[in-house]
Amino acid sequence: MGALTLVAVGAAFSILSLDYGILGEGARISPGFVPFVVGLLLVVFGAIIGWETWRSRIHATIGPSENDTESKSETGKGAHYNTTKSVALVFGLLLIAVILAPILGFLITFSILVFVILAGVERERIGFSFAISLGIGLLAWLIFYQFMGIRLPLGISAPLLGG
Amino acid sequence: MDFFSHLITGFGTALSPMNLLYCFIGVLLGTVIGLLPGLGSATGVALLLPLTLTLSPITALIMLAGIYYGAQYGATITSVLIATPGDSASVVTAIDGYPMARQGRAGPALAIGAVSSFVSGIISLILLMALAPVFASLALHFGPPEICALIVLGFTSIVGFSGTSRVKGLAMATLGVAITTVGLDPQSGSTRFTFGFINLFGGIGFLPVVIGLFAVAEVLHQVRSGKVEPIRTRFRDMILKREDWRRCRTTIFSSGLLGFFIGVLPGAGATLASFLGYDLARHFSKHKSEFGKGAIEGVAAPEAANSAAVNGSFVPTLTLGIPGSGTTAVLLGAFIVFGIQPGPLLFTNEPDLVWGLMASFFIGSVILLLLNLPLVPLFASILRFRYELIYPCILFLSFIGAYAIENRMWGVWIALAFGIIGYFMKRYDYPTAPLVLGIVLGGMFEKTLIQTSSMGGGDLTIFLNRPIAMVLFVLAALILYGPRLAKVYSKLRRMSARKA
Repeated sequence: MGALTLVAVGAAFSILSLDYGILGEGARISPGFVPFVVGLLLVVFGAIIGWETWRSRIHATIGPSENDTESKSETGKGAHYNTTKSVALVFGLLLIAVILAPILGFLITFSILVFVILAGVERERIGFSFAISLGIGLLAWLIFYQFMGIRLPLGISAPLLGG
Repeated sequence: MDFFSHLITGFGTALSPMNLLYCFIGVLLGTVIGLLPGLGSATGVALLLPLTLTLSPITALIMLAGIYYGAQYGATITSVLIATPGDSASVVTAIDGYPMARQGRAGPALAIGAVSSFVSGIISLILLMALAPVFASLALHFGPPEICALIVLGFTSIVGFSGTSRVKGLAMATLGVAITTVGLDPQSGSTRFTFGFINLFGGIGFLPVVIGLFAVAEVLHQVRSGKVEPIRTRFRDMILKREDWRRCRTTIFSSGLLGFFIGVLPGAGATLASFLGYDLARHFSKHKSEFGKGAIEGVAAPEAANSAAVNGSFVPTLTLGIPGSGTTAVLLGAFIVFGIQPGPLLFTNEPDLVWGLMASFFIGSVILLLLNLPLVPLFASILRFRYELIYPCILFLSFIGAYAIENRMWGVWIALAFGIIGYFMKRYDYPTAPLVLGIVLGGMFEKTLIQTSSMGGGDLTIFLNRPIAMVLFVLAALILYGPRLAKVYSKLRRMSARKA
């Protein structure tokens, strides 16, 4: 999969760079030269990685017996499912937070994110999660907004935070 | 006046109670800024410049310089403890610093970071004070072909960062270079790969990428790994041992010298120095296999190179008026705000200021060491908290950092996108450091290649007429193929001996 992605990205860079010109007057380097070359290199490296992966998979078929792998996969299956679910959940929450930050205000959205991760994903106590999210939100407001003067998007929280 | 009388005058100026106080404030604020992801030394100096406008020029510059190297060390702390580099130059420190922290050796990692920064800082200061004009004239011999060759040399360090697969390392570095071609073309100013999307006109920012690849990806990776046990270490495990120091002595010296020379070159900067310093240390280490898994030299080398490059970058800034790095460009602006014109006449016209400033670097390094060494156990104790409590806060601060770099949500989106890319890279064993190296060097490489091509009228054989560039190319080839050639040579010798 990774190798295929590299080949696709490389091919895209090489093909699109043709529009910018590869070599100009007197064989001078044009804007498309470097992306064209790196695109080709990505295709080559992607192909090599793909070949190596395919070869190692073939070798792996002459690996441990089926019973061994079956028993291992049975024990680890549940845990693996849970952690993958957690990653998807955290990533989904991050995505929602980034979308909502300009609307609700950066600090409020990310404080809510901290609360939801702690209480929802990590199953911490509600009061404790609230205290941590409030604390980190206030600290960030003091350091970044008040002290450093960074104009974070306040969204609907502007009147509350003095924006 | 000779060198020593200048030095005495400089220390006299820097040691005045007022300057000493502002040096301390600068170092302290710099350390705090460095701790915040995304806010590197350049942003820190730019943000705090208005605070210094009411001070005398020398006091203001001393404080700003304090912020500069304070921020460098602050960035090291987050690199080691939570794999979140505060700025680009501390990316390499995370490669061995973070595994050391996970092994319960955060204390020695932070301590060696502080000590190596201090030692190489002092060595480079002596060089800066004694030989600044000489190095400045040397830097003038580095035109686009030489800088291009130096960048090629920088690319050779990919070998050291590639982990189990060299091809994957090369692919990631190439991808990094490809990423830098998005945005405005350095030659014509036309846009590339922007698809009319205005946010892409400025390219893909380096620091949001680093925040995504390191901080966000690491959090997702740890969440996938399941429960991460808090690291409980005894106080004595947090102290640097004699063995640690013995392993790092030569590394600090060699990487420090290398870092200083790279810092002297305008534009090369501390990031390239830290990558090359690490690679140099790995090449000559007796513990090569430990690199990337928590080798203490892997922390000492980039820190020494980084710190020395910071001092080195003052050579072109003070003597030629050319900024040696992003931060010295901001400092150069501060010089002009205070009505001081850096350049060849600065040493003659403003000896008190120049020597006072250089002496303050020395004092600032001492303050930095005294301030941070005792605090190492305190910093390291953050790892005693459960990871489930730390990681939501890491995400919060990382995304604020990504926003603060350019004050726009675009940085946050980049951090998020590269967070997921970095997560899959970790999962499928693609090394992240070569990608970062590609992004650091890609833009510079293309720019200098275009300039060299223009100098030669499209003919790149111009490189052959540039001895310094050729030496650097040969060095790069030796680094890449030297070990293989040595193997072939010894094999041939053995075969001929057998025949005889």
